[in-house]
Amino acid sequence: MKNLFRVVLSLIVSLPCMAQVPQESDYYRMVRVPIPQDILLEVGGMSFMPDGRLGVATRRGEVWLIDNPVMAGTSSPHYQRFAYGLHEPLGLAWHDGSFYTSQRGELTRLIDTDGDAVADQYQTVYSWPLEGNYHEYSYGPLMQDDGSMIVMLNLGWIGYGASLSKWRGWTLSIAPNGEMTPIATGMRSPAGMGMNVAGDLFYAENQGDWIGSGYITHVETGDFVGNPAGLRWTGEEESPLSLKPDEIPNTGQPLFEVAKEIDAFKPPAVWFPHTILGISTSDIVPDTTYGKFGPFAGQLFVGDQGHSKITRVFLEKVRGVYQGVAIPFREGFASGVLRMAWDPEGGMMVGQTSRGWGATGKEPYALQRLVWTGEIPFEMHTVQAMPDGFLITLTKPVDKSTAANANNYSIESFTYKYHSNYGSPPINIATHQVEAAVVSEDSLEIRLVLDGLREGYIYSINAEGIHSGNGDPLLHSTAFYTMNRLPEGASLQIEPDQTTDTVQSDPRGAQLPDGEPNVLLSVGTLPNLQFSQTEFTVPSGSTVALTFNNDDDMLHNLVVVESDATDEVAMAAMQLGLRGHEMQYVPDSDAVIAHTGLLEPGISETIVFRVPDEAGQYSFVCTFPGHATTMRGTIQVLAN
Amino acid sequence: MRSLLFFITLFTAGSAANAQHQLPLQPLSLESLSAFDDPAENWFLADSVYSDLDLHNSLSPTPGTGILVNQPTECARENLYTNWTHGDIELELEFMMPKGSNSGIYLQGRYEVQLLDSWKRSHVTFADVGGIYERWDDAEGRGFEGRPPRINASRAPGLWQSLRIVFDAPEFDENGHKTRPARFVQVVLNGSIIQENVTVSGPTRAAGFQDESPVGPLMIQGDHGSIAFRNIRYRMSGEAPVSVSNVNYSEYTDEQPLEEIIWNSAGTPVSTGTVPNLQEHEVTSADPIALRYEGTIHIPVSGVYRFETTLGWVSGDPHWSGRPIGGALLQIAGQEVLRHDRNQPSTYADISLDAGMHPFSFGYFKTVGWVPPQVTLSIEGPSTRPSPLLQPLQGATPAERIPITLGKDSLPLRGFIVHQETKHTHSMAIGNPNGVHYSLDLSTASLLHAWRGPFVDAAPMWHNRGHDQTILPLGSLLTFSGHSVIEVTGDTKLEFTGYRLAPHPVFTYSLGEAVLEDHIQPQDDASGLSRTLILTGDTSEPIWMRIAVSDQIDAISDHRYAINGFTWYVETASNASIHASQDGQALMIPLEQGESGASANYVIVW
Repeated sequence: MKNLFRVVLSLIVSLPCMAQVPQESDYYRMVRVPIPQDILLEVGGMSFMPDGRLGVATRRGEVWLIDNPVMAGTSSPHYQRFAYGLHEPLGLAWHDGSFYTSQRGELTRLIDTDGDAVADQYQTVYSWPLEGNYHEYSYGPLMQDDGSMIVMLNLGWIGYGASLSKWRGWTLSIAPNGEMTPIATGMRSPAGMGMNVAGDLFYAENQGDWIGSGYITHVETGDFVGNPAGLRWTGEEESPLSLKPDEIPNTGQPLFEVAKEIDAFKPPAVWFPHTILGISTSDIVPDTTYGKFGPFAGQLFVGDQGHSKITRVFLEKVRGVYQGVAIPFREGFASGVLRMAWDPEGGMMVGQTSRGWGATGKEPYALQRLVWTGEIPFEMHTVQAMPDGFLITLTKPVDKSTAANANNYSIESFTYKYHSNYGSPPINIATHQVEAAVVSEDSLEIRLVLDGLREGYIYSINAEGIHSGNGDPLLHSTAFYTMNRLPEGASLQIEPDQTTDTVQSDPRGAQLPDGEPNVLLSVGTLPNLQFSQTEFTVPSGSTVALTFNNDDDMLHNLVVVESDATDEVAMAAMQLGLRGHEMQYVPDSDAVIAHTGLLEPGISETIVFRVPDEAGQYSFVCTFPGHATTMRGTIQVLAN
Repeated sequence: MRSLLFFITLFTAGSAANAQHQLPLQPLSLESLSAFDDPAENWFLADSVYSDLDLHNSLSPTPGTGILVNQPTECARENLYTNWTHGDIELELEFMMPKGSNSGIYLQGRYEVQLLDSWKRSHVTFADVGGIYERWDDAEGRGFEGRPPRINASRAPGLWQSLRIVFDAPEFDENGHKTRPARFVQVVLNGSIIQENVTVSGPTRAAGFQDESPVGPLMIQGDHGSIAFRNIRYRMSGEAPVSVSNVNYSEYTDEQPLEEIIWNSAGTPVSTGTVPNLQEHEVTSADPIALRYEGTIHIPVSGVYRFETTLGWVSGDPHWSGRPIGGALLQIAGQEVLRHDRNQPSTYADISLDAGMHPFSFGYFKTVGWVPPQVTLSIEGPSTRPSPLLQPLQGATPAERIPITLGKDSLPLRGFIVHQETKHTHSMAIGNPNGVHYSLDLSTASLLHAWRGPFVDAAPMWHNRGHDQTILPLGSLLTFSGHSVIEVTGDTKLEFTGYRLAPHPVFTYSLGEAVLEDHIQPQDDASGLSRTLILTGDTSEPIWMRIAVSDQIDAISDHRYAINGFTWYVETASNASIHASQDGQALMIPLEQGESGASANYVIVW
C-alpha cells in the first residue's frame, strides 16, 4: 500500500506545470495594517477622507480616523477616535466635510465643528422605527451624486425573516434635509451595496429564506428583489410598488421563472453559488483605480464575510438587463471581509470582523491592505454571453493548442429554488457539450460554442485545462456566469475542423499502471443508492481497468479507498460542501487509491490502477454526500 | 391529596434569564411591638415619618402604626430584639436613614449588616451602608474581617431604601463543635447585589452575644442614631428540604415529533432508567431531545409553592414564529401545574400543596440541535428558598460581562434599554466620570433611569451577535415613569434631531417650528442630575416641563418635592404645580421667557 503512494506522489511532483503553480499572493499581496491593542476595530463601515485619512466605523460604535493607513515610508498609521457611543454602525461615508453613518435606528451625520478631529455634533438626518430584534441591521449610507444617501434595512429574524417595523427589508433614499423616499424592497440581509462605474446601484444579498444562494442585484426604483417580507409595506402612500406578499408563490420554482410572471420582480444580476463563491456576500466596490490595482479596471469586487475572501465580477447589459460573471479573486483574509475601500495609492483597504458571524479567517477583526504586485495573473478577464455560448477574454495570451481543445472545458448550468425555505440546493443541473473552442488571432479571446443554452441559468465554466503561452494554468479556472438574457444575433459558423469530439473519460489513476490492464472490472448502479456489484476479487499486484457506468438518475462517483478509511473519506467528502462539486467530492486523503470523476447520469468512466501488492480487503464507495452509507463495496486482493 | 390543588396560577417571566421571582415572605406585624422583646422607649411605632434632607439626625414621626421608629435619647438608646429566634433566614425590609445617622441589622443578634448615611460617598468601606461590619481583636486592639459593599447603592437621607439579606446560620455537631460558619449568602441594597457568599467567623464587634449558636433573635441597633423601618418580611428555612425520590426517566429522539411527546405524553422512549434525583440524569448532549422524569416529590410543610422553569436555549423573542424550540410541562398528582409553552426563557406557577409525598412528572423538549438542554426546575415554598431540583451544572457558562469604564469625559452610548419590561430602541445610556449616570429615550425626551456607581455592562449588545442589543445599567437603578419631559398638545410633533457634546451631551429636538434643547448633567457633588430645557422659536401655546408622574407627590417646601412616596426628590426654583393626569399626578413647571429663549430647570436628588 505505502509503496503505491510513493509512486503517486512522485508522479505528481514530476509533472512540469505543477511544480510552480502560481499563487494569488504572487499577484495580490496582503499587508496588515497594525491596530493598537486597546482598539477593537470590528469594522462596520469604511470611508476615505479626501486628505488620505481612513475613517473606520466599528460595530462597537466608534469611528476611528487612521492617518497614513498606507504606511508610506516606514511609519506606522496613527489612530484618532473621532466619534463613539453609536449603535452598531454598519456603514460610513464622507461627504462635504462630514461623516455619515447608519446606526441601528437612524442615519446620523457626525460633525467636527471646532477642528480638533473629534466629532462634537451627532445630527439625526433621518430616524426609522425598530422593533428591537437583533437581526435588524441597518447598512449605509451610499452617497449619491446629488447628496442623497442610500440606506438598506435588514429584516428581523423570528424563525424566518420578518419586517417587524416599517421599511425593514427596504432600500431607502434619504436627502440631506432628511426627506426619505423608499426605493425598492425584497432585501433580506443586504450587507453590502455599491455602484458600478456606470453609476447604477447594486446590492449584495445573503443566502436565507427565499434566497437560494448569495447574489448581487441591480436596484432601481420600484423593484422587488427576492424576500417578500418587506412587501408588507407596499400599501403605504410612499411605496413605489404595489405588489403584495400574497402574490408571491411559494412553489420552489426557479427564481427567474417566478420573476417572469411578476412585473416588479428583478432577478439577481449575478449569483454567487453558496459555499463555492462564499457564504455571505458583503461589500461591493468598483475598480476605479485606472489600472493601479491591476488589469480589472471597471469591474466589481464583492467581499464575503464568512469565507474571508473577495470575488471579482464583470457585468454586461444584455437586452437591457444586467448580467455577468463572478470569478474567485483573493482568499485568505485574516477575519471576515465586510468592507472595502480604495486608498489614494490604488490599494484596497479590507475591513474585517467575525464576531458572532464566524469566518474562515479566525481573527476577531482585522484591517488589511491588498496591493497589486505589478505582475499580471493569467485569468479570465471577462466572460461575455454570446447567442450560442460565451466569449472568454484573457488577461494574457493563451496557449492556442490547449485553448482550442474542447476537452479542456467543462460547463454545467444550474439554478436555485425560490421558496420560503432557508437556501436551496443547486437544481436542474445540466452538462453542456463544448461544440467548438475558437481562439482569436491574438490569443486573448476564446469563443466557446455550446449546446443547449438555457436562459435564466447559472453557468459554471471550468477551463482548467488551458494554460498561458508560458505554461501557467489559470489562476482561477472556474467562472460562474448568470445568463438572465441570451444575446440576440448570429451564431458562430463552425468550420468542420473546429469541432472536436468530446471524450468523457478522464481516467484518473491511468498514469499509474506499468503495463496493460490484466483485470477488467465493471460496475453499475441499482435503485436506492446501491452499486450493482458489491464484491470484486483480484490478484495482488494486478493492473485493473474498472469501468463505472453511472446508469442512475443522479450524480455519482466511485472512489477506491483503504478499507478502514471508508467512513473517514466519506465524511471528509461531505465536509467539502458545495466545493465538493468542483473536487468531484474526492477529498484530499492518503487513503484514496483511485477514483472516477463525478459522473452525470448516463456517463461512464474507466479508471486504471495497480492493485496493492499486499493481500487484504479494500473498499469502493460513492462519496457524493449522503450516498456513502449504502453505496459501497469491497475489493478482495488475494495473494498470488 | 384531598386538597392538593387549591389553586394554580401561571406566570410568564420577563426576558431576563435570571429574573428573581419570589413568593411574598411572611410579614412582621408593625400594628404593635408584640414581635419584640421588651422594647425600650427609644423604639415606637408611627403612621408616617419625615426626615429632612439637610438636617442632621432629623426624624419627625406622626402617631400611628405601620412604621417602626428608633429615636435614641439621653436616657433610652437600647438595641431592639425580636422575641423569636432564627437560623437560616431571608429578611427584607425598608429603612429611612436620616442625615448622618447610623444603625445596623444583626442576624442572630451577632452578625451585622451596617446601616449608615453613606450618601454620595465615592469610596465605601465595611463601615458604610451594606458593609459587613468588622470583628474586633481585643488582644491586638484592631478590627478584622470587615467587608465593604461592592458598590455604594445608598440613597439620600429621608428616602425609603430597600434591603434584602439572605443568611445561613452556623451549624454545630452534637458536641457543639462548629461544622459550618455563618454566611451572608446575599445582601441586596436598593436592588443591587452588594454582598455575596461572605463567610463570617464570629460575632461582629458590637454584637448582642459574643458566642455563636444555631439560633438567635434578630437585633436592630438603637444606640447610634435615628432610623425608621417598614415592610419587614422574612422566611425561615425549615429543617426538611423539598426532595424527590424514585425518579424514572424516559428519553426520546427527534425521530418522533418532540412537542407531542411532552404535550400529549406520546411516543416511545429510546432509553429509560432510574435515578435518585433529577440532577443525576442531566442531559449534556446537544441533540434535539424530549425527556420526561416521573417520581415522587416530598413536600415538608403544607402551603403555597412556586415552581419555575428556565430553558436556557429559548430566546425570549416575543415575535418568534418559527417552530417552538423548547417547552416544558410539570404535573403533580396527574394535574398540570406548569406549562412552559411560550417563547420565553422562564415561566413560573404557584400551587398549594399538602405536606407529604406526591407523584410528579416533569418533561421538556428541545427541537434545536446546537446547544445542550440547559434546563432549570426550581421550587420555593413556605420554608423553602428557591432551590433547584434540576439545573445546568455540566458545561454551564456564566454570562459574559463587558463593563464599560469611563474616561475623563461623559460617554453617551446608544443601545436598546429595557425600562419597565419594555425595550426602548432609540435610547441611550450616559455615563459620567463622577459616577452619576442616566438613561434616556431619545424619541420622546424621557428619562428612563438614573444611577450611581459603575456605568453599564455592554455584553448583551457586544458579546457574540449581541442577541438582546441592550445596555445593562450596573448600579442601583432609580426608575422614572418614562413620560416625555414636555407635554405636547395638538399637532405639534417632537422630533429628536441629535446632540452635541459640550462636553456633556445637549440633546436637541424640533418642536414644530421651535427648537428644544435638553441639557442634562450631573451635580458636581454627585447628589443628582440637573436638567434644563431651553426653547427657542415660536410655539402656538405655552410649554410645560413635565418633571415627574407618580401616584404620590409630596410637597416638602415651595422648592422641594418628594416623588413616589419618598423615592426621590425634585428641587426647582420655578413655581411648580401638581396636575392631575391619567397616569397619576404630574409635577409641572412652566418654561419662562428669558433672553435666550424660554427655559426651566429642575434637579433630581436621590
